[in-house]
Parts: sequence; C-alpha cells; structure tokens
Amino acid sequence: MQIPGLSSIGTPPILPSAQPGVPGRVAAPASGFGDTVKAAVAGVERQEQQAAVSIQDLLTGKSQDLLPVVAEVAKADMSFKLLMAVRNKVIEAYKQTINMQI
Amino acid sequence: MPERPDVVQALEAGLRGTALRQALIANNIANLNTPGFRRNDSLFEKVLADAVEDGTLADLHENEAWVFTPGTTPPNAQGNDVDLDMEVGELVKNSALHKTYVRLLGRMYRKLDMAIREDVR
Amino acid sequence: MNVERVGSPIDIAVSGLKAQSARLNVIAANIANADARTESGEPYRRRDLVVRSTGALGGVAVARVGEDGTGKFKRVFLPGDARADKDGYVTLSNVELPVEMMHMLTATRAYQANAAVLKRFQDLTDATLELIR
Repeated sequence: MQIPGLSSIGTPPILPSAQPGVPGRVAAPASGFGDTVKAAVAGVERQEQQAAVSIQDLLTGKSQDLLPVVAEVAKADMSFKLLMAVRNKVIEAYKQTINMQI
Repeated sequence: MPERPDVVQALEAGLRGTALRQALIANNIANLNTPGFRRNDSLFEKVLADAVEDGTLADLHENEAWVFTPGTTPPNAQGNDVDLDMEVGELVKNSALHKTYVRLLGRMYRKLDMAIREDVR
Repeated sequence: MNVERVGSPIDIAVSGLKAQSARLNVIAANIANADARTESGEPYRRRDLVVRSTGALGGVAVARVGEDGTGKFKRVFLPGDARADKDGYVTLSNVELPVEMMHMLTATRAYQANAAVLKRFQDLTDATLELIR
C-alpha cells in the first residue's frame, strides 16, 4: 500500500551532526532539516486533501464506493501519525542534546 | 494541521440525510400493504452536491425538502410499489453509509480537538 | 467495496431474494389451484418461473411465468364425480403436491442463502470500516 506521506518524509536527521574536532559543539544543519520538515508537512497536507475529496464524492453521491474513502482516510491518518512521531523524536533528541554536560 | 470545517459541515449534513433515509425506509416497510402507497426516498446527495457547488453548505438545515417519491418501482394491483426485499437492500446500503459518516465525523472532531489542544501524542 | 453500483453484492443478493419470493408465489398458486379448472373447463396446468441472469456479474431477473407443458394430464376413472366426462373419466391437473413441496423447500433454501449473502456483506463492510476506527 503506497503511503505518500511516508516517502516524502525521507530520512530526516534525528541527531544533528557534530562538527569534527570541536567537542560538544553542535552544528545543526538548520536549512536542510527545515526543508525536510516542510516537505513532510506538505505531503501530509496533500494526503488529507485527497481524503477530503474522496469523502466529498461519497457525500454528493458522485461515488458509492466505500473502499477508496476508507483507504485515503487510513493513509492520511498514518502519514499524520508518522510525522508526529518523527517530530516528537526530534524534539526529544534536541532536548537531550541541549542538556548534555559539556 | 487540517481542520476543514467544510468537510465537517458536509459530513453532518450527510448524517442527517442517512438518518432521514432510515426513517423513510422504515415508513416504506410499515406501508407494505397500504393501497396506493408509493415508496419514498431522500435526495440529500443531490441537494448536497448543489450546495457544495453554490457554496451554500452552511444554510443546509431543512430536511423537509429532501423527501421525494422516486416513482421508478412499478405498483402492484393495489397501487402499492413497496417491495420488502428491495427495502431491505436499501436499508443495508444506508446503514453502511451512515456508519461510515459517523466514523469519519468522529475522526474530524478528534483532529479538531487535537489542533485545539496542541496535544498530538 | 461498492455500496450501490450495478453489480454490487447488495443488488445481486436483493435480486435473488426477489426472484425466490416470486418463485414461492408461483408455487403457492400451484398448490392452491391443484383442483381448479380454467374457464374453458381444462384442468389447471402448473406454472413455473423462468429466471434469467442479468449479465456476467449481475443478479437475476424474472423473465416470465410459464406454464409447465411437459406433464400430461392424468385421467382417472371416477364415474360419479361432478367433473367426470361422458365416459366417467376425470382429467386431473398436472400439479403434484409432493413435487410442489420439494420446489417450495428449494426456493426457501435459496431465499435464505441470498439473505445470508446480504448479511455477510454487511459484516464485510463493518470490518472495512474498522480501518477508520
């Protein structure tokens, strides 16, 4: 089952890469990570939009097929949950990094 | 994160439509032997489609205009066109639709709730 | 999982229910008319339902109610009977009660089978909806 939201998230860096030779110094690749997050959010938004269209088709009688609606909605929920899980992991990692004893 | 009040509104209207249809089917079955009785149905799908086009989704709250007599089923000798098997089939279809809308609406409310509370755990 | 499209399991099962109900009606008519005569004085000829399929993935439709012309009428010697002809023979209808009862059983079972299909499809839909809680 293709889950568009998943593939668009890719592999965001969970731990920011540390610069070699500078102990304790954290260099977060800010722009790269920000773009990844934006792309992920856009992917989830797209999936949610698709789900909304299929719901509307069912409501207006354009389609009487339940399966596409259920599939789109399940995909949208999965993408969203995955995005949230990644976000929470990143925040947790960031907190841990901040609290590191130098 | 998406809240989509228009989808919520449409789903709520859809729920009213399927509830109305359930009542109409029950009435059809009750009038199985009434002479001259023609079966009724709800055309809320068409009404909803028009409302979405016109953008008048928010004004959709009258149920009375949604009842209509299809007249597509042939009447018997007593002028009655209700067929029990067909009504049962319509009931099954309508129940499935109703249940779907309930689930979808619950999901939308939950998403709204999450967005308000900013708690997505 | 179609809720309504032509050929959906619900429509097919409902068409089956309708056909079997119609069949039961015909059988009931046969049983009721087992001793009857038509206007022309002929004994009642049992009727049967002709059901046709509405396509590869479609349901069924009642084509017509036809008369069963296969059995010959039985002639029984009953000289005192009101229906007897000048030779004392009575021509009986080709309705045989045991045969009709058997048909009634098969029609009932077929009706139940269609109803079971409908019920199962309902369960399938419920299972599908579990995906969105």
